Amino acid sequence: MAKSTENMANGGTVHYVSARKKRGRPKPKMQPPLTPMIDVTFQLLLFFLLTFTFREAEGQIPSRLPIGDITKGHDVKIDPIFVVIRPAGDQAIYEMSGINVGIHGPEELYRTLMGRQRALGSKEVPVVIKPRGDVAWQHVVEAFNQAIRAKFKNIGFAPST
Amino acid sequence: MAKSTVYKKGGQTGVVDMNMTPMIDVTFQLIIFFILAGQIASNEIAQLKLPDPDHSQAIEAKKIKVTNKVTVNVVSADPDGTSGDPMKVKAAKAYIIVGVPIDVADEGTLFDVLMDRKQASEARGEKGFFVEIRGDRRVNFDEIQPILVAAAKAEIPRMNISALLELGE
Repeated sequence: MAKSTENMANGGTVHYVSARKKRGRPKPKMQPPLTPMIDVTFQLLLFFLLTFTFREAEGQIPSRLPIGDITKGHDVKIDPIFVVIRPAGDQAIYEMSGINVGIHGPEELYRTLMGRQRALGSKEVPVVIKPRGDVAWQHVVEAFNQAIRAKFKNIGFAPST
Repeated sequence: MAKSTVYKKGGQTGVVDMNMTPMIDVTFQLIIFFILAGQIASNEIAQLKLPDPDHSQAIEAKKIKVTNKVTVNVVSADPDGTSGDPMKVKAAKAYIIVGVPIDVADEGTLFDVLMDRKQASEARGEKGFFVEIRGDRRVNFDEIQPILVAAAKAEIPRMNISALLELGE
């Protein structure tokens, strides 16, 4: 026997719905309201768009500081390599002790430091960076970076001249 | 000729529903991108142009596991270069430590702050305290030197210099 269900209409009239008819009906969809979520998502997107700044890949060059008053200088047992930096427009000229000509650019400085390191046969020789006061920090960091790149282990700063 | 009524009969005036799913997908992708690539505002880090050395030997900050540090930001007096005065760009506006500016001429306060931070770190029993110098690359060395002097006076043995990493690292 075919199953049937009965529905009550408003007036109390019984309406029989056959099982076949019921099967044919689409099932009601259950969907949570998406509108508030989309609203919040767009708020977040707008916030990120307005406050976004690209992050530059930042790192740190580790070093050691002498203890005490560095302006008075320290006794150094081995003759250090002095790298004097003086400004030349937007660039800088590096002068190294024992070399009479100016060194232009970081690559040349690196090669000169490497040459000195090989000639001395030691990475323990102190490298003292001696910038002039009006040299941009970029060039001071550049000299420090090239000394590390040349594998020197003992790098320091001298008070500005 | 009479017009066909086929289209009229078949034409429905139902609601056109836009498919929202791809749009939400893309929006979420964008949000995830912004969260990952964005920089969370931090008191420790001031907005400035860091030195960009050739073949940078800088190590990623997360590889230096010690977080026991004091970061000194040296901000240019004219960070955007809008004044047209090149001397102003080379001058430091202030030393900024955890969002608090210290006057460049006030070396005594700079020393006191470094000393306080070092002592607070020692009191917590932490080791390896260091000073991180985040200087604007255009600023003169004269403006950075007082930090080196103050850190050495405060007997802080380590100093890290912030610089940009080598591209492709």
